[in-house]
Amino acid sequence: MAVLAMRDALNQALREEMKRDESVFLLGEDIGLYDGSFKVTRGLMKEFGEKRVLDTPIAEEIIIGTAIGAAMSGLRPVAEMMTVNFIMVAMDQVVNAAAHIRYMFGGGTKVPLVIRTPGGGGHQLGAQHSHSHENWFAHVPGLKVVAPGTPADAKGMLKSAIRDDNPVMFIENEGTYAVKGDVPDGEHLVPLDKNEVKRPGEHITICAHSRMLIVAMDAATELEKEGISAEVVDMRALRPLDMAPVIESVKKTSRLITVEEGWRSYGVGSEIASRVYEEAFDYLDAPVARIAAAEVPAPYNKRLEKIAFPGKADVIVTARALLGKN
Amino acid sequence: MSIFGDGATNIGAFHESLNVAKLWHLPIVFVCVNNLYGMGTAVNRASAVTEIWKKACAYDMTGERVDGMDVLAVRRITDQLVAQAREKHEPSLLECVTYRYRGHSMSDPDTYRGKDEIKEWQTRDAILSLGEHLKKQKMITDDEIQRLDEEVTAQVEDAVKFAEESPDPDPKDLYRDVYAGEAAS
Repeated sequence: MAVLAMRDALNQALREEMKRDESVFLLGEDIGLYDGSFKVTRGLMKEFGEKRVLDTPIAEEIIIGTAIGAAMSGLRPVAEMMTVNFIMVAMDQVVNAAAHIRYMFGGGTKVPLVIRTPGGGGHQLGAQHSHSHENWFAHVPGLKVVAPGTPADAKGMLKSAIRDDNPVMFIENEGTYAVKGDVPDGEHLVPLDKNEVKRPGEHITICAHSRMLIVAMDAATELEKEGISAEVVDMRALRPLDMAPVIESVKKTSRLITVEEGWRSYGVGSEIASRVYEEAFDYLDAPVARIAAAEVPAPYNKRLEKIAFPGKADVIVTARALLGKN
Repeated sequence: MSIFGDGATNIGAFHESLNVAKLWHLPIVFVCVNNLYGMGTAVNRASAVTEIWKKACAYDMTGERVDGMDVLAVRRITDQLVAQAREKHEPSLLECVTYRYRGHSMSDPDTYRGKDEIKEWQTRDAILSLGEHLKKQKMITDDEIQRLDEEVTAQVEDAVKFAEESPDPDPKDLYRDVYAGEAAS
């Protein structure tokens, strides 16, 4: 066990998988000589060479297209999209090709592909670099979508994603790369389809993934001081969406808050709320509360940006309201 | 070998592909079947450069144009470009100029081009021309051509029959093969 920053936990996962399996290779913009835009791939070109760490042109469609072809030919590519916003120009490859090819070929091929890409705002990078779109991908049959919020899960889920035979959208967050946590050494695998309680509690359930998991955990710590015991469920597995720990938790607490960094409409929280209404309606004492980003393009201005994305205070205020304690 | 139509050469993915193929010295022959129409839009209404082979120039790549109605000419240039890919690990772009006799699809009324244009191209039909050439070379007779034609027609009819007579999938197969290795949803 070592304390690692998220980016170093991801780097460790990539290094271990590349050592374990020669068919694993990386491709993306500035991931090699430059060591990666967010330094996740630091040192890997030096260690594994230019054939296994491929610097590409700034051309997302050809990056994903190349990765799909390689995956169908027996390799295990890990493609990096510098930010999730940039994957928009490659959506044809992600959806029409990666997600659908197996079905269209009647199971005659598989696409063992990982697409790593960070979303998230809060760094004054403006509307074309700050959004969270995991719900777009989680909408698509044929894709798996995960979004870990701790360094240990980041390592364990990336290793599992690389070994999976399906296209996996591995959503990272620019605001979590420096976040540190305990990471098991060596063979540490976290399943892609299991969500889990990260903090047990009694009075209210808070669902969150990626950076919002950290926000939810911080809020739960604050709420504890007020005598509110919040149970935090990490929604790291978005597709397939593992609802079991949420349903179990809601049966105990009868109140649910969902927190996400993307927009509310048609969002992750909407899906979670629907499933809770379908599966645990009678256990609820209040409507599900969804906390999400303001429905505007991410502002550049620091003051406006701060209020556009959800924070600890939003969770605390919402929890109090749901429990009638405001 | 990667095969696509003239319409595909105006999209970004085409140019991104040529760029990395040359950059990474990939052994690829890009074959453009230029049938002069992208669905209903003529090449000169969609592409600033109507001689598709010239698009290779931007990537310092070999570009060739061949009469797509001349089977033997297509074979000769293809052999040459495949050899270049194999031996020199260099990609190339081959433009085969040809024609589409029918509409783009069953719902295409084909109102965007003249009937004379279609008839003109039909006089240069690739398969009929090859037959004439082989007859001149005394390599085939009319009877043999007719027999080949019947054989191929029978093969196609068999395939259609097989498709029409095959049972529909079981309803539970709807969810099969969405994911490899498991029944995820």
